[in-house]
Amino acid sequence: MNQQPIQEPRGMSRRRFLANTGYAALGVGAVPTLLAACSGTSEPEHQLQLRTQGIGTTVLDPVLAQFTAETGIPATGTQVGFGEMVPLWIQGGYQNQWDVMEAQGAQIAPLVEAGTLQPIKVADITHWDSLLEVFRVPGAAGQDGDGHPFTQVYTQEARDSGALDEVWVVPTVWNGDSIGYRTDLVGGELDSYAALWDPQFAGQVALFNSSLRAPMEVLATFVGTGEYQTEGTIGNPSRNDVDFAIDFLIERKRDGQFRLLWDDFGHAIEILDTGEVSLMNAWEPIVREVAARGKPAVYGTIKEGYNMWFHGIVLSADSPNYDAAVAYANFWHEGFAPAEVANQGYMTPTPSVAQAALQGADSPDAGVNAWDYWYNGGGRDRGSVDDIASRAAWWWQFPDESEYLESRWQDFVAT
Amino acid sequence: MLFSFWTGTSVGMHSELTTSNYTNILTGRTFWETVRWTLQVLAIVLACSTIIGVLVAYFAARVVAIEWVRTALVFLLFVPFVVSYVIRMITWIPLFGRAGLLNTALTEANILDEPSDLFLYTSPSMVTALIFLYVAFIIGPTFFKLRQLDEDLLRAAQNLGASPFKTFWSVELPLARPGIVVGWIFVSVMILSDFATERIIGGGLSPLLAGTVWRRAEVLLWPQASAQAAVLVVITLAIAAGLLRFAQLERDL
Amino acid sequence: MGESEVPAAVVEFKDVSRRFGDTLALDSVSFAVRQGEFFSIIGPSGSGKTTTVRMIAGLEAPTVGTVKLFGKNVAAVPPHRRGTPMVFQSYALFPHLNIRDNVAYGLRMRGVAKPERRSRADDLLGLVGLEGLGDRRAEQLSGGQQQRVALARAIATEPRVVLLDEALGALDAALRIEMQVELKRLQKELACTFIHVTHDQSEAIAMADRILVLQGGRLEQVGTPAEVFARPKTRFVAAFVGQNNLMDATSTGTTGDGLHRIHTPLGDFLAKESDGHPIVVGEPATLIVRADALRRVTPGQTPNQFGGTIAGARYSGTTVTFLVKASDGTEYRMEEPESLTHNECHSEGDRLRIGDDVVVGWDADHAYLMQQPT
Repeated sequence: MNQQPIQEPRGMSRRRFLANTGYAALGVGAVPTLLAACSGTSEPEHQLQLRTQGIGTTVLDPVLAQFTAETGIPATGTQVGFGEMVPLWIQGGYQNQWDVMEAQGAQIAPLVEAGTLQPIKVADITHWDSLLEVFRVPGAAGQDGDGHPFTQVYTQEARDSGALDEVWVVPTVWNGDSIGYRTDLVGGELDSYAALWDPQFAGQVALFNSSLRAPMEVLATFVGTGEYQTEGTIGNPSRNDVDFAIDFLIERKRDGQFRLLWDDFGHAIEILDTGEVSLMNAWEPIVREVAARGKPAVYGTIKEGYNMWFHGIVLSADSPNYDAAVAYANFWHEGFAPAEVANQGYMTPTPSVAQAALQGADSPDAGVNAWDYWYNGGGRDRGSVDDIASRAAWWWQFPDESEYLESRWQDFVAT
Repeated sequence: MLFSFWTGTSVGMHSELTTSNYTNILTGRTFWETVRWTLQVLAIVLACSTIIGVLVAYFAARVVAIEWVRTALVFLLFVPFVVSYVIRMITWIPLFGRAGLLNTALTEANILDEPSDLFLYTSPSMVTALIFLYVAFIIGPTFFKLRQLDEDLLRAAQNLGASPFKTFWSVELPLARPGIVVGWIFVSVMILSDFATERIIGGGLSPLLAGTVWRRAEVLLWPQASAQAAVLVVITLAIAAGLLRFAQLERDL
Repeated sequence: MGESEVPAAVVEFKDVSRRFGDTLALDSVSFAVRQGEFFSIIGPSGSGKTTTVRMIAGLEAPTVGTVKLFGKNVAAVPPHRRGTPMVFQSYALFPHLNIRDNVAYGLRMRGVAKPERRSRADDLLGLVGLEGLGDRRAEQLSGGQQQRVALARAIATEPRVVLLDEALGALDAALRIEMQVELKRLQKELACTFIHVTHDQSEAIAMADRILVLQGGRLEQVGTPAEVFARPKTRFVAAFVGQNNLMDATSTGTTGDGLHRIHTPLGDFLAKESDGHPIVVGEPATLIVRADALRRVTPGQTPNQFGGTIAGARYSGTTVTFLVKASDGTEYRMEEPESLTHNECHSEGDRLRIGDDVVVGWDADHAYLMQQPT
């Protein structure tokens, strides 16, 4: 959807109108003037600060503390649930309480459309040229049918003009979701989403309770075998694509394929650890934790590709702390933060910048450093960073048909 | 509430007033199927937890003779609520999972040939879990009502020819009814707002109403979530009001 | 008394004891209640009277001994099969039922059909003077009305025994007397045995055919009100029943006309031996002088007299009771008709005031000498 120009929505809210006016003002660097005009006082010296909001995966006290130590910019972080992040900004009206959201790629579009963001200049991002190509080069390997994540990162204007000088988001963390399974229970290696629907595992499969996961995996499976051609894309399916996927899932559910839907991270670990299920679509840390408990759990390398996602820094349209946000994004590209999140399996988009620091950090495997383990194919079931980055089935997004997809997903769930 | 009249899109919403969220819901088969299933589960849970709850309350109030044992017993019922919900739920796996105590016992006793999947992530297991989660809220008020009761009433009934069972049925149960109804209201409100049990023990494949509302909110479909939440609130209020009316028929709440 | 010869004993206790932990609530008590009797059990609180009546109802079981109902040992018979409805001090009306259904409760438990038990309940409400109130709730009635409902409920199944546990205890004095009359009337009309527990001896004397006096779980006396009142068997009964003055006494010998010469802390007196209660010379005894037998005398008017000081006075309608403090410090009660004090015939000088010195005495015929139990 982001390949089309953003259309003016039918109803234009007061908030959007103000936000849009805000951009215009910002474009000529008039924000301080505007603020001064509003408050009626002149305040030339602005004390920079960073107020960031995001999920617990990325809003981390040690990272913020180190950021302040290195830059001298005071920083406060607020952890919220994934589902609350965008509503707090858009519907909640709390946008002006934060400078930065550590948003997920799929959340960029709603934030942009609601007019709550201001763009960030590529020139201000120190290590931009070290970013993996999948984020910054059009047509690079690993982008999905919608051109994600490239199309999620840059502003429409920057893409249309070919200047590629402004972005909505500076990527900071990324990974690919896949399936997790117990080799002892499935009796071997699995390399396709097809295993999730394989009758030989009937009653042993758990699915993530999200309309944005299993339906896409169904599409990826049958696009992979050539049995189905999507009208939309895997990440942004059409209604017919949705119907195809959901009807298939309902049929498999009726046959008793699925043991349960999982929602909770801790619960997901338990069901694989105890063998309640043999395989599931999973997040990497779930599988790593089960493996760490001594169970033969493997994070699948899937031929159809990963369900990729990234988080990055977006900047509130109301924020007076542009420089702090930029500094924070730059900080994430260097060694400290990537090393902090490495052992959850989360990767930096600037591996070459962070390499030295990662080589000095520990991995779950004693004697193997974090770089070799997580980025250099050191993990048994894990390829190199370039290998993973090139294997995308789709990048997380909220499809145009989200509402229809969700109501059909409910049909599946409630059948 | 206002959100529910807004138009929801995949990327947010804007404030064009619309009734389509309500009409979509009011005509959606899956939604009403979920409502029906939720009410069915509620009815089963209320029925079972009333029987179990009243029996336990009666046991604690009448059979247990020592005051501190009685108090401890009722207090113990609420101990699980000190533990975090997810921890409480995860403890079900070692009890009722494939390799859980129940399956182990049944297979070792040769009642089952192989571990059964019935005890976890099924509708019956969800209903059972809901009963045992919330039965304490029936036991508590019923117990206190029974303890409050003037013992001369029981003596009078017995001397007038009522067996212990008839005394229970004709005197204790009617007089404990306001307590039971208070319990019903607690349980109803909690089941109608419970989105976790259905997922963690029911396996998420037989969802209850609160869970579907929660889901819509999670995927940013706020108008739809608001519309469904409004229906949920109306149902909850209607049930609570109906039960209160039932309790007040005898004016002795 | 020959109770064992009466075959129609409705209730019979034989050496019944009841122990609660370390307390002996009932200590080897034996008695029998006859068919059609109004039988009162009296005693102070803790005397075991409630335990006794609950044993009849089956709400308590004896630790030792036998309770018989209509000649049968009822140890194994649960309360609901005994047919012994009870009326409680708290009334114990069922708050969830209306008055009619309260009265009909016993009939309902017996399986009497609804129309029949309702019409019977209405009849009973008429019998106790509450016609037309069947649809009311207990809380809408006065205490006296509730008590009548409780009574109607108890007699609805035409029981042969009705138990009343402090049944009138919660009523005010005037209502209590009215209900005493009513109860007595009903009991005669129904020819039913009433066993009635009270701490109020005047209530028992007013209603009972016979009275059982309990104290500390022990049986003190069983007898007619006249016997218990006028011929108490024990010092406790004498003190508890009626307003009696008790004086330690020892007989020093007899006079020619059958009187004992007795020695007391207040002096030597003459006392009469009562029928069937021989007094042993030299053994400790108790002289019982009723309060209304004590009167003001002039010195030397009677051999039985002593001096004292008025220590207090209590007026109660028609009588006034003075406390006369004797030389040994003991207070004795002297009851005079109120007219004696306020009659205009009496001069101001005759009016007793606190602190006045008086001489009081009694006729030997109006006192009662009792050998103390050894």
